[in-house]
Amino acid sequence: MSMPTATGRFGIEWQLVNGITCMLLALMLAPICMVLVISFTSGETLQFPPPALSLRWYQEVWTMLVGPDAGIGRLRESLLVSLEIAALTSLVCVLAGVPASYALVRYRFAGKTLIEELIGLPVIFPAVVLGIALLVLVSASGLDFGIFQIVVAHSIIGLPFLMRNCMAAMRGIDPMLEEAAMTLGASAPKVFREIVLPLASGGIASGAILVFILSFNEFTLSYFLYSVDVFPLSIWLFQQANTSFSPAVFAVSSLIVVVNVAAVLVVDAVIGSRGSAA
Amino acid sequence: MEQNPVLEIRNLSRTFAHGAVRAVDHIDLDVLPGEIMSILGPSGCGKTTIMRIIAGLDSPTSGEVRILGKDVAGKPPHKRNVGLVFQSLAIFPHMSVKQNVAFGLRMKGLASNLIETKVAKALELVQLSPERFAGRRPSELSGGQLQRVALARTLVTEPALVLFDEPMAALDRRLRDYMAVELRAIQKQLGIAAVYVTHDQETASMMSDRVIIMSAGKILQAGTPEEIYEAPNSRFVSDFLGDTNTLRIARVLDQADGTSLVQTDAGLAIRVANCSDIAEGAFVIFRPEQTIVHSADPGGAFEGRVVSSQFRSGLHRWQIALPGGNTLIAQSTENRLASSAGETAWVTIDSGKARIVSQ
Amino acid sequence: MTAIENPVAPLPSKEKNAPIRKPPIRLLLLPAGTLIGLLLVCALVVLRMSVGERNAEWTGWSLRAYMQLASSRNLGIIIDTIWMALLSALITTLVAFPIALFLTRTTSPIARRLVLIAILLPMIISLLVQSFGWMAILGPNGLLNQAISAATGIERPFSLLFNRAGVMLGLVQTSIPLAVLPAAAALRSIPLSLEEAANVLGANRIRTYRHIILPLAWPGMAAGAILVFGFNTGAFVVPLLLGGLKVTTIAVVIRDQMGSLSNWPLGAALSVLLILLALAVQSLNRLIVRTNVEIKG
Repeated sequence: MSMPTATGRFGIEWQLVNGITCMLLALMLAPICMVLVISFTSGETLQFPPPALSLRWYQEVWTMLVGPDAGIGRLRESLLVSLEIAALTSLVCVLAGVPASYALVRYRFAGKTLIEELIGLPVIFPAVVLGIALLVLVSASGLDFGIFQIVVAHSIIGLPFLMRNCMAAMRGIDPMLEEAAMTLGASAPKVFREIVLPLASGGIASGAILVFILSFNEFTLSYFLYSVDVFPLSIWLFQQANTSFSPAVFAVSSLIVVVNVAAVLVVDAVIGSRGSAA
Repeated sequence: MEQNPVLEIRNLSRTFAHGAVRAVDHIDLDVLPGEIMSILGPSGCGKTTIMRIIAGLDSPTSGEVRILGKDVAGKPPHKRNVGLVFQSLAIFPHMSVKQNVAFGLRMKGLASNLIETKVAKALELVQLSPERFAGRRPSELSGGQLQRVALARTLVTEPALVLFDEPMAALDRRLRDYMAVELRAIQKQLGIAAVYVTHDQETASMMSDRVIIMSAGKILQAGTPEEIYEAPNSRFVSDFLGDTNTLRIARVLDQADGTSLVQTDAGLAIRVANCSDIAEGAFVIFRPEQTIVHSADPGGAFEGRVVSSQFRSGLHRWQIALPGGNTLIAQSTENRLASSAGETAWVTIDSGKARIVSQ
Repeated sequence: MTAIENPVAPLPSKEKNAPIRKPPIRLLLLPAGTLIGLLLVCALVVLRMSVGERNAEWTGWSLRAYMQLASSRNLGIIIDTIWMALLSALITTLVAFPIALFLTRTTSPIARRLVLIAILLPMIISLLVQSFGWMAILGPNGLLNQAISAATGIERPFSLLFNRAGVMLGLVQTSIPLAVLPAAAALRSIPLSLEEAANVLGANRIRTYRHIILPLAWPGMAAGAILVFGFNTGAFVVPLLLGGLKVTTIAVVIRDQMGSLSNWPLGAALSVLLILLALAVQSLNRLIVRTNVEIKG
């Protein structure tokens, strides 16, 4: 019998913690695993366990994406629009978030706390309300913003995530490096380009990837702001789920999971390598 | 022939917290071509603030800074042609040694082949072989090597004036002394004017033509290292430059032949080579090496008891308690007292070297 | 916009001849400020519409929408949403504790990393995709029902899809990361020596938990619970997909009122309510963090 110890790392208690943790993790990952498994079914339904494993639904998705009759369900169009929106959202967040992060990290000014609070506001702001209100504004303006109404909406909720990463990276830069660059003849814009940007690039990149994934997966805002011409992948998935819930939807979902996981690993590697270098 | 100073500071002040803190308080100083001037003082005395104002990283509350005769008020740091070697060295971690040294030249827009030759020359100057070190990352260098990179990076831009902000503070004593000698040699070779800010009086003495002692934003004394060490004008300056015996004067017993006989609080009578007016509450100060200890009464010496004795770096040192409460520090290259703590010893003071200061 | 820019003072250094010319702060904050400003405009839009007349949201003035909030149907949905958010916060916090304990106690860096990634995945991966997974598990032909009918022989014993239990499961699963991370941070700050001291002094493990670990970890756990509560009061995707038409939340009703039912003032009033709930949750969170900081000195 193992002895219970004060630190709770052995004995029955620790086995209990281990067991519960494993069970809960299984529960948390269950839906994702389910999607992955069903996507390989040979059957026509979402039956579990699948009658046999096959790649037929991936083949179908492939023809939907690149086949001559690529119009089915507009999957290719939706994927491209989502990628475009995600890329533009990352870009907008970087362009807006990097200078603001620098201001919040390096400047001292009145009202700084208020600004910091406001920057964090989109995280807690109910997405449904944001989506509806933006829809109201767009219709009131009577203009067609095309893809940009979703890009702007996604940028609002992506901004805090980018800035959190960017500010953490910028706080790690010794201000003396910037001063050294100044005394060596670098003007303020050059200091920013030569010193601040390269040294914060890891944080900016991981933030941008995070925002990309956030936008790519985002449903609620897209749900209110999509149109016939701008039909993101998340809306395509939702529509398929409501009409023909075939395993092809699960194959597409699995591909999304793979992309998401890859992005997490990239961010992890970027942050990890920076951590070990420091 | 009078040389025009490279740097002139006139009536410079810098206050913080809306005037509550006077970091720099009406300072005047000049740096002549080819000289190293050290600003020496304890941390918080304002020396770093002065340096940052010269570099353009901070702005004065009032007063004037002229570099090569031109007022630089409002001129940003990158247009001042002033080099600064930081205490933290501030080597750019994302650039190689070569890119670090080339940075200033690149900012000036020099042609790349010219940059190449200048960088190689600068690395050789600081004794880093360009073949071996140019491609290295800062994380692969030792503290001393980083020091050299910082120096090369600053010198390669040929600034009119180089500022050093205690760049050697992180090095150990031996390496620091070595670097100080080398830095001095390089500076003389290039004939560059420099300001060296430090709280380490030994390094300052080793490498400076002139030293300024600062405290609480004010200059207390200026002169060559030797002048200040030999003739400090206050207890503070004397203490800062080395161990000092300080005795408070109770009254003047006699003044004759250019000397004065003064009596200390503790009742010791000391003759000093100074016969001017001695203010009430003045002090006699003298250094440990300006005393001689005796194991037998030589006549006219103070008798005391040995409190402790040490031997360090070829010097013997004794703390000797005198009757009346004063304790003197005595020092000699010879082991003049074979005695241990508790025994009696006699001390005489080199009256030609003892000085009187009012504060 | 004005709300953001007004408090911004000019440059940090007030001397006219300040040698370092930093770009003006307003310029640096302008793009981000525009995005945040748009968010504030959105809040003002729903505020204005909530006090408008139906079909005259911009011109009329009326408090009818707020009175409609108190109707039994709307009140029921509000209470229901808050209750579900509370319950999910409670369950999530309880469930998060052992995981957080594991994360702080495990000596294997690989295990910690794997668990951390497993926790972060549900936060990153599309909610839609995860809801699909739940639909496959909970549906009438889903994994759960098949397993149960195989074990008991009962054909289609019950359905978890399109009812509260299914929604609750989805809410808990998607918000576990929000609760685990603050709890793990709080547990990490408890020195092991405290536990050892309690043990030496004769406390058994249960007493150690009750008197040492839980009192010190509770601010972190409370912060997590509040976060989950706030997150789930605005829940939309999970109830939409797993709740069908049977389980509605405030967010779903807002969609219905502003969409098919076109009672915009009521939808806007519910929106204002959601915003207020979110702000209240954030203030509460800050209060807990602050008192915690004060306690720790």
